[in-house]
Amino acid sequence: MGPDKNAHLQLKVISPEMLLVEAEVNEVQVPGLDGYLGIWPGHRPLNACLGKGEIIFHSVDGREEKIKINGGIIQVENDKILIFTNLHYS
Amino acid sequence: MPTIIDLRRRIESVRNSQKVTQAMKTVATARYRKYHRQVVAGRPFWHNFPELALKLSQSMSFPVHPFLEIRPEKKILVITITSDKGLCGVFNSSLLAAAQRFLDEKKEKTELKLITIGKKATAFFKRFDYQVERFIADGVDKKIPEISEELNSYLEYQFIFKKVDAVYIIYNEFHSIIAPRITLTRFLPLSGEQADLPVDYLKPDWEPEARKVIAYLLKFYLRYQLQHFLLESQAAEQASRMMAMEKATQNAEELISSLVLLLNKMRQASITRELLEIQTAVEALTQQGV
Repeated sequence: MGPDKNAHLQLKVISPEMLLVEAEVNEVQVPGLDGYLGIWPGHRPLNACLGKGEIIFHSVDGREEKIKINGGIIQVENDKILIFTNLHYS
Repeated sequence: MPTIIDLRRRIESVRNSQKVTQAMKTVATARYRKYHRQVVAGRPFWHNFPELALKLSQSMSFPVHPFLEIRPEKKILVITITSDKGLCGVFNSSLLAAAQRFLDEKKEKTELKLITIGKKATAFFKRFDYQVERFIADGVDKKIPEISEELNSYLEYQFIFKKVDAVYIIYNEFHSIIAPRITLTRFLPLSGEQADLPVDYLKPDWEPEARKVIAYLLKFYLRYQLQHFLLESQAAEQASRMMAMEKATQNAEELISSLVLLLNKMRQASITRELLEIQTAVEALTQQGV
C-alpha cells in the first residue's frame, strides 16, 4: 500500500531566531545523523537528531524547497512535523 | 532672585539638555525596534520548544539526564543581567533590589556565587562581600551569541561536576514598553511538569537512541535559552531607556515653559518699572513748569 495521495503533512521549521517554514507538504527529507530520512504521511512517531545538511520538502502545490541547517531536532507525531534547528550560515 | 540674564542662560541650558534627551530617545527607539523584532521573531521557538524538550526528557524511564537532577541546594550560582549604561529609569535599580532580596533570603542556608553581566551589576555587587566568580561587561549587546555560548558551557561544567547545585538567573524580561518584568528563573537543573502520556500512546522511534537525542536536545535548549535571556534584557533595556528619555524630554519642556513664563513676567515688570520712572520724571518736570 503506497502513501495516501490525499493525506499531507503539517510542517513547521523553527529556529531560535524565527519561524522559518509553516506549510502543508507531501514529503519531507531531513538530514539525520546517519543519512537522510524521508518522511511521508502516516509516518510512525519519531524523535531524532539532525545533522548538517538540507531539509528538502515538496509543498502541496508541487514546489520543492530546501533549507540549509546546521543540526537540530525533529519530532513527528500524527502527521505533524516539528523541526527545531539552527540555520547554517555560510 | 535670578536676573533676566541668569534666566536666559538657564533656559538655554535646559534646551540643550532637551536636545540630548531627544536624541537619546531616538537612538533608543531605533535599537528597541531591532531587539523587539528579534524577540518577537523568536517567540514561536520559545512557545513550542521548552514544552517539547521537557516533555520528551521526562517521558523516559531510564535514569535522568544530569541536567534534570535536582540536588539539595548547598551551593548556588546566581546570574544577574543588567545593562552597561544608565539613563534607563529604574531598569537596573529595581532589578538589583530584587536580586539583593533573593540573595539575602538564600544567604543563610547556602553558599552563594555570583556572575554579573553588565557594568551596573558589576559595580553594585562590588560593594558587598559576595563571591563574584566572573563578570561580563562592556559591549554585551554586540556579542550576545559568543557570550551565551561560552557562558553556557561554563555553567554546564559547573553544574555537572557538582561545583554548584543550582543556577538561577535574574533578568528583565521584555513585557511591554511601559515596564519590563523582573524575572527570576532556575536555569539548571531543568524542570517541568510531568507529562501525561495517553494510554494508546504509540511509542516513538528514536534516532539515534533516546538518551542521545535527549542529551542533544537539552544542550540545544540551554544554549539558546541563555541567548534568549540576554536578548530579552536588551529589548527591555532599550524600551526603558526610550521611556525614560521621553519623560526627560517632557520634563524639560515643562521646565522651559515655566522658566519662560517667569522670564516674561520679570521682563514685563522691569518695563513697567521703567515706564513708571519715566512717567514720574515727566510729572515732576511739568510741575516745575519747564
